[in-house]
Amino acid sequence: MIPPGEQPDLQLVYRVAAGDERALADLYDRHGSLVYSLAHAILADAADAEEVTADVFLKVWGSAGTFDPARARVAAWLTVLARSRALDRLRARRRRARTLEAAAAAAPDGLGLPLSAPVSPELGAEGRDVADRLAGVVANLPEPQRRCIELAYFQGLTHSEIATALDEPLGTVKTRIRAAMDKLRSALEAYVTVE
Amino acid sequence: MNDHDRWTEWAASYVLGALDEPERSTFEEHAEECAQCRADLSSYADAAHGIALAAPRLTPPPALRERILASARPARPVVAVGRRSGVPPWAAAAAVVAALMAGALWLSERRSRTELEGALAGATSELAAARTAAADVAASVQELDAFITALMAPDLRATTLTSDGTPPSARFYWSPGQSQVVLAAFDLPQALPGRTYQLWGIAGDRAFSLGTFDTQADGQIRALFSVPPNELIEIGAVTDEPAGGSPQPTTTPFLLGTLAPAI
Repeated sequence: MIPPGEQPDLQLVYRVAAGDERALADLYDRHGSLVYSLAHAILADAADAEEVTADVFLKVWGSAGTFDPARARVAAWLTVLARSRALDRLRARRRRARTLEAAAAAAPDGLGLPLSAPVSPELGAEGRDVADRLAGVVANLPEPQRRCIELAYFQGLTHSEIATALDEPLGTVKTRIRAAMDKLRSALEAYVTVE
Repeated sequence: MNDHDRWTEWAASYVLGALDEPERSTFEEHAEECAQCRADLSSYADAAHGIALAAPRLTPPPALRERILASARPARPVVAVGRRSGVPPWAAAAAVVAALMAGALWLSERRSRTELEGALAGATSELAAARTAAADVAASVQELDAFITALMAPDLRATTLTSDGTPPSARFYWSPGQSQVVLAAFDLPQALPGRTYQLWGIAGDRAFSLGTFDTQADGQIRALFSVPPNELIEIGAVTDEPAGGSPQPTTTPFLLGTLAPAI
């Protein structure tokens, strides 16, 4: 099954692979905001988020030919690229700050909570529909689960680092992540089934 | 927890990059053999993408778009291995492809003909899809040209890399004079997330890397590798390695073949 909106994305990626600048512009118009927003959620800095967004689309320009539609959707590929680049920058920043404590101290209630803000109305209809549902699922996660997911996804922390940051047992952290991911997975599966 | 529950829990964290060592390595080894884990990884990866979608949406500054497009312009994607100056007109390019195909097919031994036809048919169809962009056509011709130049070397030596004679397998062509290896793999599933395939030349008890690769969705790949200067290859081998490759093999080769004399 090709998810809604995927076919045009794929064609754009193939045209980018063939060196079509117009296709790169179209791909940016469709997903630039997603990439930028994700980078911003991780880095909390507009200039850094711009750098990451530029990196991602230039990477796509240089290696769209290696994209494999059997492995991931185009938008998912872009978010993986964006997240890894943003987390690299975040880690470099932390190395400069020397300690994880400094990172935790920079966000007093733990984390900056990028998932607690309301979803913006500027998305296209398809994107907003999925994002609204997911934002709803995320908003309904118990607070401890949401924190674990945020620390892992937006801060790039591992189990043991999350356990330290939250002062919780390791097993508790693992269980919370699993529970939250299961809810997200079920929500997406329900969404796909409705399609 | 049932028997698989711990793995599922790890899969949920693996897609977030949240597993500590040694769990991460243990999980990767297990997932390689476990269909349930691969299914879990796929669905949890979708869930992780969902977290990105749920992040508050911002509008990037308008200047960023132009900056990206401006940076992209001088740096066209290049697939060619060998470079030639100038862009041949489309008709000439087609003639070159036809001539090169004929030459390569004539030259190749009978048993590798089907593979070459397959590889060339793939390249030709890629070429057809690129008609709209003449520069792209030229790049594809150059890539094909590089393959065929390698395959036409007078000192070409070949072997089949296999584990036990059954698929997956790969054809391995080495030209000592050109210091190049052409690899054509078949029925080889794509490397797992975070892993890659790595091609090795072995001489005596020494292995040296020829480069990493991955197959396409259909389990095939054809790729050109440079051989380090003055290296002689007695055996070709493929291992499964962490993404980015390894300086020396870290797993046992699952495809292996001894080079035959020049064909």
